[in-house]
Amino acid sequence: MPGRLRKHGPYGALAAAPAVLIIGGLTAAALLGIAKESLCVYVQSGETARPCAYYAAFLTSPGFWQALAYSFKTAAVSSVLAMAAGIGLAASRSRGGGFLWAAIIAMSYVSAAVAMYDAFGDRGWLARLINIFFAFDGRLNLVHDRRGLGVILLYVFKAAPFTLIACDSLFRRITRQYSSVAAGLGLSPFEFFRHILLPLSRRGLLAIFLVIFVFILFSYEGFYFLGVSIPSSLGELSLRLYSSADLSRRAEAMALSGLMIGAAIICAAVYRSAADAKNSF
Amino acid sequence: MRKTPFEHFVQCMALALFLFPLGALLLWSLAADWPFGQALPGRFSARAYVYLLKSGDWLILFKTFIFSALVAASCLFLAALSSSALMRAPRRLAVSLETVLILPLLMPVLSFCLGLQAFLLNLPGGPTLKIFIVHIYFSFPYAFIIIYPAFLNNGQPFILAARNLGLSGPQIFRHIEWPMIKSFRRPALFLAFTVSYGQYFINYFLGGPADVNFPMLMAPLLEGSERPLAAAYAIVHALAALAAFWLYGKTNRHVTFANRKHKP
Repeated sequence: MPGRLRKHGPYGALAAAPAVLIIGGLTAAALLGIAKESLCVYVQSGETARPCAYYAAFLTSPGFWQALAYSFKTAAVSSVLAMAAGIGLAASRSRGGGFLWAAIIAMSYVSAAVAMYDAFGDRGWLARLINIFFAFDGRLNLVHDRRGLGVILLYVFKAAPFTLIACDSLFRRITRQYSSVAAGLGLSPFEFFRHILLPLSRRGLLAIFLVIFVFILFSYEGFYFLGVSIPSSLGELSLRLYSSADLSRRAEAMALSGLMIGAAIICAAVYRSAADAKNSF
Repeated sequence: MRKTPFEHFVQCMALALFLFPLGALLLWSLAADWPFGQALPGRFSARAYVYLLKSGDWLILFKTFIFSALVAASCLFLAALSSSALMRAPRRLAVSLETVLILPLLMPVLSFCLGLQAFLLNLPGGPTLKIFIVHIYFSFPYAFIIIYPAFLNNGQPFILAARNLGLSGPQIFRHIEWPMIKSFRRPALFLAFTVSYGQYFINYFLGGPADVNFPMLMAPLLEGSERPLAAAYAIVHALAALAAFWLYGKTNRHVTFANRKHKP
């Protein structure tokens, strides 16, 4: 990596101040708000303050572990499939379909959920085609499925173009450096991919996987529009507790949000170390 | 290097799989009558698109577009400023600040909004400016991860030369660094714009009546199984963003850092 420039008067610090103030300030405000409510700074009349009680009660709640298992499984499957699609397309030097990938990235998650519902939902296009070609009259509904199939399809649809673009830039750098040497040594394209491209790019791929996985794990829209009520995701559980008529459940919602943000901060540190290695090529 | 037949097959399969939902979206947006058992709609109609124009919802689309464009422009400017500053900072401080600046990339939107709601309600002023800043919070990292490597890998010799010639920091930013990232501005703007343009929960949870954006209009259509309307709105929503960026690319194609006109 090129050497850094020396500090140039106060301009250096002032230039970063707006962004650092916005990002750092809002993050601190959100964490403070969560800590105040989840650690019982606000205590209802007649009750005694019990710091960390909501975190402890939460972790022994079967509903939390069910939501975590459902969110984790959906996020893991979606992330692996999206990464496989992105890596496969990038490694096959796919240059076509640029407008398609840009269109999918430009779609919001609500728009993509509409597309999934129209294609794979009850009496969607897939159900009609299967009815015609295979004479199948049963209801085919991949959306609103207890196993989260609709949610997985949505996140693979949205995340794959992102991983394609990220993997493509990663693979191009490595290919530029090593492809001629590999060809001279007689490696086939698959051997080059397996023995050179994948090992050299593994930390960069980890960084990309982490971003997608954490986003899906804690997201709300996909699970809300295409998922089911039971089991609910972590995001849905948190919002349901926060919106409950029983105001004491807000502290549980804040405790869950605190856990989610804490996990995100740890993942950000891991991402930073992985991304630093990625940029070192 | 020519593609192998397997690579062609992979590309065709991928295109077909990703085109299928978009094809379904297009067909449903134009379907006036589509009985079960038919592969294509029986009758086509543009009534969903006509409804979008007549109902006035196109105004909300326009408002959402302008709002997100302002967010993207702000994120680009802040990303350029931050990258310029991080290049001059000591390494450890730069790494720490970089970790802080990319934190929103992994921050759960819902949890963040739950924790921030009380703080924003107690701040003076209307909700629109607060929503604007929260949009910047989540869109900024996408611009930053494109602009910062551009700063690190391009143009340090130019900056050193400019400093040796006596230019100040703001002058270097205006005449050297900002033009230097011209080819990186479009992808940075595009990513920051799409993140803000597609936000649903921030406006739903933290916004007021004047902060209804286009994804919030689509949500009840999807929940109510209004397939033609929801499909038409989804297509128009995506096409508006793509058309704007195609136009931006056309108007900025021939100007590069190397051949830009020198301003006296």
